Amino acid sequence: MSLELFIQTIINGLFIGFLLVLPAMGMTLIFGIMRIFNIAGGDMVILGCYGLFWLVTLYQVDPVIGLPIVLLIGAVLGVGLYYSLIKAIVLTPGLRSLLTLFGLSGLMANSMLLAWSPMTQGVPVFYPIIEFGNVTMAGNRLLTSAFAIAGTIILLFIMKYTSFGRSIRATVLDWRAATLMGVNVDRIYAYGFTLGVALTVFSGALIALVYPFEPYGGLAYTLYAFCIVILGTVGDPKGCLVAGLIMGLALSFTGSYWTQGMSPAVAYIILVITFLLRPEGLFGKRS
Amino acid sequence: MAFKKEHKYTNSFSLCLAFAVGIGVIGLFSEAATTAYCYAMIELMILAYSLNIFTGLSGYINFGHIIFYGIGAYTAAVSASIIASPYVNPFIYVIAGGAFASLCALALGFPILRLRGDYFAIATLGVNEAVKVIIINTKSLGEGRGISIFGLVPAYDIKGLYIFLLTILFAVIITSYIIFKSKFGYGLRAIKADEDVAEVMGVNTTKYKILSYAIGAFFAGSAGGVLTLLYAYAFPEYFFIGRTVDMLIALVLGGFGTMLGPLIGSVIYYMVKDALLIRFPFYHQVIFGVVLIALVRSFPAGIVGLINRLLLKRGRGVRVE
Repeated sequence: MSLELFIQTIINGLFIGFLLVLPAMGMTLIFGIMRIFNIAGGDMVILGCYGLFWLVTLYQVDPVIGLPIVLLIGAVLGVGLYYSLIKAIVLTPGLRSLLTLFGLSGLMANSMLLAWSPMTQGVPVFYPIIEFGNVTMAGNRLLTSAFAIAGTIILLFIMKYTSFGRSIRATVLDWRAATLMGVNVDRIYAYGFTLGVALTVFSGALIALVYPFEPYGGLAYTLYAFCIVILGTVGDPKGCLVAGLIMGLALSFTGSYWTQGMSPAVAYIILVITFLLRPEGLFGKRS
Repeated sequence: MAFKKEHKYTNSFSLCLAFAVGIGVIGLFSEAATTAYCYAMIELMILAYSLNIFTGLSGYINFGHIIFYGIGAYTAAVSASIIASPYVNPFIYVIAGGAFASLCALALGFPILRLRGDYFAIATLGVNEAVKVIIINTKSLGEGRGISIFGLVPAYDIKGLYIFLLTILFAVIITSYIIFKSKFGYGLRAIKADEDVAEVMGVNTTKYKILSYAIGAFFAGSAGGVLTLLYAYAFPEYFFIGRTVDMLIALVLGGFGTMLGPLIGSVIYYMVKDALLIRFPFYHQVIFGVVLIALVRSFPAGIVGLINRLLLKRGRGVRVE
């Protein structure tokens, strides 16, 4: 039994990890490009949850079709937010950008509270469960992980091999030098932010298939994403992938061998240990 | 700079004290409803001032200040249930709350205050969630139910507790003033202006930051202790993130890092909030998200900054701080 529990825990941990990688990548992208921590990220995740919830329960859309629609909603939200709020606070000192996003976070959480009531909801879709002996894999988790892995690979590919990705990496390194090299930095800001928000909202739709959600639950996701971003070196999507899997395993082991409720505390402990031992993250260069 | 006109600062400290005395008298000598109104206002003032000592002066945003309020509340409840005697002066519990919150701030500040700016801010946002989760999952702290200390303290005695709260308000104003005028305060402002330069000039930045963090936590914890005495109950919802929004708006509205700012900001914000709460019971939290964004965007120096700009335009040789 205990070996099976162990294997099951590892599998679940990987599933959780893949789900958490996407919002963390959104956050690290936005921070890397414009030095803004997306505190409202968790609320965007919850928005994605409710987006899919609504599509499935109100319009009976199949989740597989619903997911791209939510991605599109996220992109629209990203563009809207960028031109209404974010453009004015790019590269400004922490006080303005952080407080603006904190205000946005409160605005989003409370709007969702009004729209969907404080009840905990879940998306009522269940795919068949696959079993190997005593180890089980829920269909929902497999599906969401497949989407998450696909999203991660596409993002890493874009970052590494396209000219858009090269521009982003150049901007992350030094936006002034990037401007001199002919990168349209304003456009990179707009695209980068949109991409980050779209990823975050999309990950919300995936999370909705596996976990229940509530309007005020965003803070926990912001925390997880932040811990992953720090652990995997800020501004590095590859690091995010590794750190996300580590975090998923940590959360899963907490759930199996301690209590599920303590997960945010464990994430925080990982964060503090990172700060103490290796503040530049797993893949950072020590300065 | 040689031609810059000399200007004098108004005596904000006396103004603050006078105002505190005024609101204290109003609250003490009127019926319970007004006392309760003033009570909530003073509580917000204490929180805004205690946040100002750290965030206002050093420029480090702290989204996790509410945990000290909650820790203070829980400490007061726990110490009351350990002592378990109705004859002890309950102010001891308040001090215990503040002291323990301060200790927690020292323990927390040590790892996370070595971070700069934005990183620190989000780390504090995480503290919020982590502490709440730990309390909800700890059996001896009553898990989600909280701790009741009914019968051990004179509960619902708003006039008596009002005096406690006033004492803390005076203490926080006086402490703020002392810090403002001391080497400590100048060091913190140097950190706000440029941390690297401050360090080169010999400011022990980490020590200063941790100390001011702990001092702020003390007052927030004491306010939380009084809250526990009022309801005779400590409850996980004391860590509600909405209170953080309240404090930050009060501080931004009044003016970051000023003496008069937290006071003016809290009074105006509380009055507006109370009025809105009655008229739009469901929408007011949404409205405050918008208010915070609008304030930061178009009004970053707050009311004190606005007054100073007006005075400058008129050519007066006086400034408010």
